[in-house]
Amino acid sequence: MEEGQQVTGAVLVIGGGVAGIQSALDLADGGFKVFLVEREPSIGGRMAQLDKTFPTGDCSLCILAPKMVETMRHPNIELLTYSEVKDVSGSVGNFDVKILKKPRYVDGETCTGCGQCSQICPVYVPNEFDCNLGWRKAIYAPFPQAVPNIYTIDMDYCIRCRLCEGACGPKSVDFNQREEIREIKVGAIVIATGYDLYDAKTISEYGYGIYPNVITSLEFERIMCASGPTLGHIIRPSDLKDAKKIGWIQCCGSRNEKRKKYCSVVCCVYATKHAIITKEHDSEAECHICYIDLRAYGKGFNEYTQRAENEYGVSYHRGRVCNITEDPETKDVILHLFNFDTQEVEDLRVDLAILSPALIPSAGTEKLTKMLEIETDENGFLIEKELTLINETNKPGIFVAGFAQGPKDIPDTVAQASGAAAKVEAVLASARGTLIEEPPTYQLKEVKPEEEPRIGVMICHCGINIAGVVNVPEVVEYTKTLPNVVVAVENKYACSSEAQNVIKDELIKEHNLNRFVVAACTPRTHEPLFQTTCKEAGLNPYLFEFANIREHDSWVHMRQPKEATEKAKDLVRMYVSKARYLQPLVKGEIGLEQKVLVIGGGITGMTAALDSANQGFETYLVEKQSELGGLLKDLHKVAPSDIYATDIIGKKIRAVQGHHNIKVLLNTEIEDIKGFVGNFNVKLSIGNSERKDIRIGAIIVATGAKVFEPVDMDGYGTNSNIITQLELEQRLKNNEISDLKNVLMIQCVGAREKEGRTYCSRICCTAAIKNALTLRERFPKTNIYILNRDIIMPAKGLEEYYRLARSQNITFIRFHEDKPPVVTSENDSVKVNVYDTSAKVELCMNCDLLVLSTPLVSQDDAVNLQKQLKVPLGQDSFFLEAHMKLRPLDFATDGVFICGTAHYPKSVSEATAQASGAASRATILLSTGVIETIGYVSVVDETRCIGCGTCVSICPYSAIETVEVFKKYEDISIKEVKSRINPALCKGCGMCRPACPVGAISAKHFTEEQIMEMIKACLF
Amino acid sequence: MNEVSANHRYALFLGCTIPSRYNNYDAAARKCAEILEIEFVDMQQEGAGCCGPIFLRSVDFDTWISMAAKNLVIAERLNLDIVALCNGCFGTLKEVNHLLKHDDQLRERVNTVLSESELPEFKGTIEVYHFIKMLEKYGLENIERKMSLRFEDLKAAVFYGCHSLKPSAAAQVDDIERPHLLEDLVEITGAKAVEWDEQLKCCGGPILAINEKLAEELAKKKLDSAKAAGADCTVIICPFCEVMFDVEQIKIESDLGIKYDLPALFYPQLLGLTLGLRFNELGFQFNKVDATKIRGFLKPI
Repeated sequence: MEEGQQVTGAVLVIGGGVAGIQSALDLADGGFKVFLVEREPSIGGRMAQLDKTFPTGDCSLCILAPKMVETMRHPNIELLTYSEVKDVSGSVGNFDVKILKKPRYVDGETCTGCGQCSQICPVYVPNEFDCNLGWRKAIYAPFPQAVPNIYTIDMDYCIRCRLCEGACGPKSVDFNQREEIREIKVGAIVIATGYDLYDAKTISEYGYGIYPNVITSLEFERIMCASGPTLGHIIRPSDLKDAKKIGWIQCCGSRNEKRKKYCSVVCCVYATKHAIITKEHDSEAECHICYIDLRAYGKGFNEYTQRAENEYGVSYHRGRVCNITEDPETKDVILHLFNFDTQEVEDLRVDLAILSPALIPSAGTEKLTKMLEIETDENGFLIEKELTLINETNKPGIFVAGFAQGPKDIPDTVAQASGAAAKVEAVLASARGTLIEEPPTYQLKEVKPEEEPRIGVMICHCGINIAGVVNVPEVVEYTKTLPNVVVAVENKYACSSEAQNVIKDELIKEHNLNRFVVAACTPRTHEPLFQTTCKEAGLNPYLFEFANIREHDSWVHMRQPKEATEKAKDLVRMYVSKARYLQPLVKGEIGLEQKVLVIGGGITGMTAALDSANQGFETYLVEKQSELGGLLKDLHKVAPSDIYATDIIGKKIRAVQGHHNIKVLLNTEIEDIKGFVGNFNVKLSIGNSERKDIRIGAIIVATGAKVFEPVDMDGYGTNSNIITQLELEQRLKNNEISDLKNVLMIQCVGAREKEGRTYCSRICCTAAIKNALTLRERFPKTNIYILNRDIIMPAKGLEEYYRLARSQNITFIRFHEDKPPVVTSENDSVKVNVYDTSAKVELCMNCDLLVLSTPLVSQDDAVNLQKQLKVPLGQDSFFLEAHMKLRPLDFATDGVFICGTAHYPKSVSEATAQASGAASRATILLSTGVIETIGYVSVVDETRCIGCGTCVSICPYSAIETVEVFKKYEDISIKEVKSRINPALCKGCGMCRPACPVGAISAKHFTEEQIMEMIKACLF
Repeated sequence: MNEVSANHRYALFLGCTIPSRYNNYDAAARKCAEILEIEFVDMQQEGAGCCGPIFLRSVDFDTWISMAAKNLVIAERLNLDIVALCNGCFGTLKEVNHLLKHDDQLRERVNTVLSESELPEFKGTIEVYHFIKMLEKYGLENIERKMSLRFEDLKAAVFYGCHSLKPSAAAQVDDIERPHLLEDLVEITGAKAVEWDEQLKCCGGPILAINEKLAEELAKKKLDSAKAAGADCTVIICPFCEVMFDVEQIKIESDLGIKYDLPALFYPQLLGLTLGLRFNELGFQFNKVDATKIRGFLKPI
């Protein structure tokens, strides 16, 4: 791209799964026009097909649907579903793209998604969304929460009876539709094409496709799902009876020399999830997971498996299922398991066998990458430019996010997707805001306090989540009898786009409502959706109320439908009474400082700084040590490549120091942070003598972690030949190792404990293998043993790396966590006793060097920093993100972001991907130039406030300060102290209100009057 | 299809076990061939010897290959494809034929050995078939046309053994996890092939000489499984497997007192009955487990 050439401020995102959605939202929020192309009729991808997500157990679609709806409603995003990219020409900054829009035979503009057409269609077709376990019609929406909720005719099955045409109210069916080519111009492209499942039929020894009760994991997700083909009943295909005994077979096609060599990363944890959910459905169920290594590598994962075993009674069997046979009469399946621990063949008879197939790049990725001339590896995954640039491909301007780059879980996908956005924004920074429309200004009608409330109510079925327990029609009838309720209706899915149209047009506008209530799921995920709907209908969004009759009713009273229905009526009555007293509220705007502060100058901090600076934002990079580089300074090479750590950081340091937008401050520590999002005042102390005050808008925490020193464990500290992996690395780097006879490494020292440090540090197996390979290269004759409980290689390329180690005569010895190795050291000799579970023999090994692999632990000053930033620390003092799955880089406190090992142990690739993601999150915030405050803040009535300061200490968001107020009475000036609440920080939690001894604080939207009315409505 | 065998003329390779222990397999195969108008030229008469037993491969690879090559060049001289009745012979000959055709260096080495014994060079002009694969080539419908009788209500547990199918890259006979060829061949006779758990496991023959007790255990597992699946008989395509299903059954009977009454038939014995051949013509008198009851299932078409 030439200097000064104009770039297009638009981006093409290919793939509408969670990766594509996150990238699109970040880019759109950042001021770019986004074209999101998805070849299925709806966005959502694989995540929409999952039942629940690990390790939190959130309903997958529930946490994804709000993002899907936001994607559709975002003024800067154009959704092109049922479309494919046909041709791309041009280069970075100016791509010309031809998009093929497949004909739906339904007019997207007029279709309301009512589903009448589908009801009348006579043709039943296997539903791909349900993995062909259920049916759809030839005219269909793939699932109820489809976005966009426009129906589509599958011409392969349509018999052209045209009954749909007749049934359609808005006359949206159009058999004359043809393919359309849409030509667009974009500046950059993000590939987020996701994954498919490996064809398990080819593993003929497992009988998939032959025995009905052998299914894949994705099929099981659909079976578990309440809106799936079995309505959430865990039954087996042959006789539809409850599956009471279930077996999981891991690594079907993965980690296989003849099929897929790589590890698919997420299967061990999702199988655990399946088992836990099964146990929640039926505590008597027997769950057997047959695995090779239990790769529970991420935040909360190891604890998840511990809970599965200890609390839920899930059985884990380390072994390989050689083949599966079927009992021809009962159709039970028998897993012939070779148990590694007992070294015997066991026959495990189960009702249902679930295969965890390898996860492969989705069909069409190959064609797309060929068209774009993007390099892919032998498995079809896109090859990243560098270890620290995993969003970048070999083509400038074309980026990748999610599974298309390599197997990974949802949090890593979301982080990487934000990272891709940051990279795009750096390239297109000059064109930010040029192609987007002004945000809509809503014409809200004036609602005076004295006006009589005209309340509309919509009661949601939520599929069977509510309607399966609560008699919704009965509640609707009851609601109609409440005073001030003008109209009450029910809806199958109130969150669907069809329902929004009903609310806007048929309810609010038609009945001239001035209050609206929805009784459905949780306002936590869906309130903003309905508030926006109200705005679009001209109603102040604060005149909207949300009653939770799912989490608060149907879900907790599943076996008491009568009582649940009465409770639903009570809840609706309560919220309707509150609604009567709602008042319109207005949001405010506060200016912000468009500068970023990155705390921590390691590889993560430097990456975050670069990604923010490249977008044009002035960035401070603060490092407490006297040089940049962090942990990588001490490393030799970075696995699984052969690149020297110093080369990696050297490159970044040069980039950072030469960047005109980055100010590097070494020997600098944070003394104090005051202020709030967009307006932080940070006091820095430089080298113990100098002080510096800076004003910044967003803070990125990249403070890293340190290696745990296993004092008094396994003889560490008693013998100079017992060292940590980090110490080994330093010795290798400085060539301080002489020829040794026996080197032993022990994994999981001080990690994955039963109590205490229960987590897996994700990178120690990789580090041990890396150092073992370096030793092997230098000393061909040395015996190298790695004593381990599991070998955890959770990323692209690592399984092959493990195999390489095995082929290089590095011996892996498995021990059980209940029988760990025992180290004895006398003088200089070190002896290790370990019970080898595979050979079933007690080994006594002398070694010249014993290397202990210990976890990364949080920095000592994490606690201090946490207090300064007012953000929480989670388990093991790693920083706690806002939401483990979909907001891995944000904090609950606005304006502060987290990345790298300060969040949780991870590799260099993962840390730098998160760093780019955090930069994106930070710059989105700053790019608009203003902070919007929420409407329902709490307010202090200064005439009543006595300045006691109780509220100040109570507020969890530090949103309250005391200020001095001067009252002038003629010629006397009296100084008073009053509390003042900062609306930019106030989250409206209302903790201050009851704390105030004189009742001087009122919470808007939760006034005393409103709450009292709710209580009265509840009791009387 | 190889032009050489276009006229259903093959070189029949017997190996050693069939002539010495189970020449009823040989007889039945030849008798069936007669009716099917397939011509077998006897390779033994032409100087063929031991195939180059499978286990020899692990002991001395070159000797194994050379022994097999010797038989292959005899067939090349006759300009006929080989049909083998024994799994072991088939496994060796097929794989060696494949190896020699594709590995130039190996072929050179072997040709040196052959020339030292005044045998012709290996040229790679013929194919090797297992008896059942040859029948597949002949065409199952064509076999059916020659039948005058059919079985009714007869349940058979078919057994492939190992070397007829594996290694799959060399054998190329059928899918190794879900084979169906022998089932298909059995079903054209009217008998029903049952599904049984132990079908794809090794017969245990190789350890018969090393650990008799273990071999007996393995044989018992097979017989139990076939019986549990409701089989009236087993159908075998290798003399070594036959030992395990036939002779071992008698041994288990005497050692453990369990009577299975599960005759082990060679496939051509089963087929032969439907082609109208007589019981003794097919060598049933040499089956150790009495197979007389099979006749009761035969019905005219």
